Amino acid sequence: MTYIAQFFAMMLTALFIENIIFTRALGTSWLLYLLKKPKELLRCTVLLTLITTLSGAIGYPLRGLIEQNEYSYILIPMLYILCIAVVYTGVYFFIKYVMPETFVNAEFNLGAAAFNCAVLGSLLVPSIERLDFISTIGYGLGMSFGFALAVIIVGFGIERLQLCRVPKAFRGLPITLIYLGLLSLAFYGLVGHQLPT
Amino acid sequence: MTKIKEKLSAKDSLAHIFFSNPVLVGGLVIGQLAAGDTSLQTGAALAVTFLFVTIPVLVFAAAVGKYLPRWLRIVTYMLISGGMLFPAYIACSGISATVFDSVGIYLPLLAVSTIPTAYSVKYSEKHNVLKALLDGIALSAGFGIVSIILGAGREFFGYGTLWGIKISENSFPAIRLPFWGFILLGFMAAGIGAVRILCKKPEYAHFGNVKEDEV
Repeated sequence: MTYIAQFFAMMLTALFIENIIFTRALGTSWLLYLLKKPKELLRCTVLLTLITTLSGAIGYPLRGLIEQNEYSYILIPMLYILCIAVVYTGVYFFIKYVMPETFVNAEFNLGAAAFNCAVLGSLLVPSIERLDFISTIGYGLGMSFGFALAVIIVGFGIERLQLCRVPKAFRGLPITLIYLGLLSLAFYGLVGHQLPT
Repeated sequence: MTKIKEKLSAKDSLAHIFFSNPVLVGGLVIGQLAAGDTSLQTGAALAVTFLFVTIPVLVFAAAVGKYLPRWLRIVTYMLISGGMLFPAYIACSGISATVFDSVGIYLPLLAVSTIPTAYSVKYSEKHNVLKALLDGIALSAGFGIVSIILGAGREFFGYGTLWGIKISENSFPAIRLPFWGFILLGFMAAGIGAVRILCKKPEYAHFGNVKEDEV
């Protein structure tokens, strides 16, 4: 029971308090890409969740071997890149041979969904905070769901912004970034933080 | 309706420095700057690391990428960019002893940023080595300019220092939080947009290097 509570507590922390986009600013480029292709969101979230969870599960026992090393801050990112590469290769061939119809549409997205800041960041944060296995997996899942939540919230806002008269220089990326900043500030206040003085 | 056409000239590579800037026009590598670039030193460290991880990947993609099986390409690029973190760390250690603590996870995250992952697959594999090298230099310069200006601005207005040296009594620490990073990048992107409109230059799309022409 304790483990289940711990798992869900970490998941909710990653989902709201340390949201991958609004608090950590990880995977923002990927979010901007998905805003243009909203139909890809479900598939990309599934891939992101799968790759984060599996890489976290593989990397956790290996992380313990190099954590005490003097150069762990260089070796741990490299270890996780290797773990992601192994999982990516497995998922690639699984989809290619088991779900060939899905593979045709997913090939480019699979590479981008595996190797991005959201996935590596979801693995590096638990490593720096020295979370245990259950918390690492819960955190990874929460990060992935948090990413999908952020895409949906930003997507709705962008739809409304398109109906407004935005100055020409601000159209597109600039207004999206400013909107993202304001949402990030809202999340910052929502979870009870106070601005530093 | 939008028609997209690709230009492969050197002029387009150089556009990555300003009119097709990877951050402010392409919308790439935003997170590392919004959250990790909080001082001039972190800006310099991010710029140096970006240079180390981007150029070898783009050149390798152009030279060898097309001869590798599809599934192996991105894996190889990521291992190269991950491996290039080692020399990048050595180069960055000359900037400041505390720079790694200041940037945190955002420095290694450059190895899996959109340029080595997506740009290499989408564009560099179709280019020759010289074009890829020029792209890498111009993308690094474009990224470096933004990261240094943003870092210097946030350090100056946040703490009144530049490269750790006190030069004014400014104190607005909130500017170092990620939401300010997004807002400042938004205004910088709008600045480039305004210059582009005034100079009547073509609009570049997400990922850069691709012009969007209204038909």
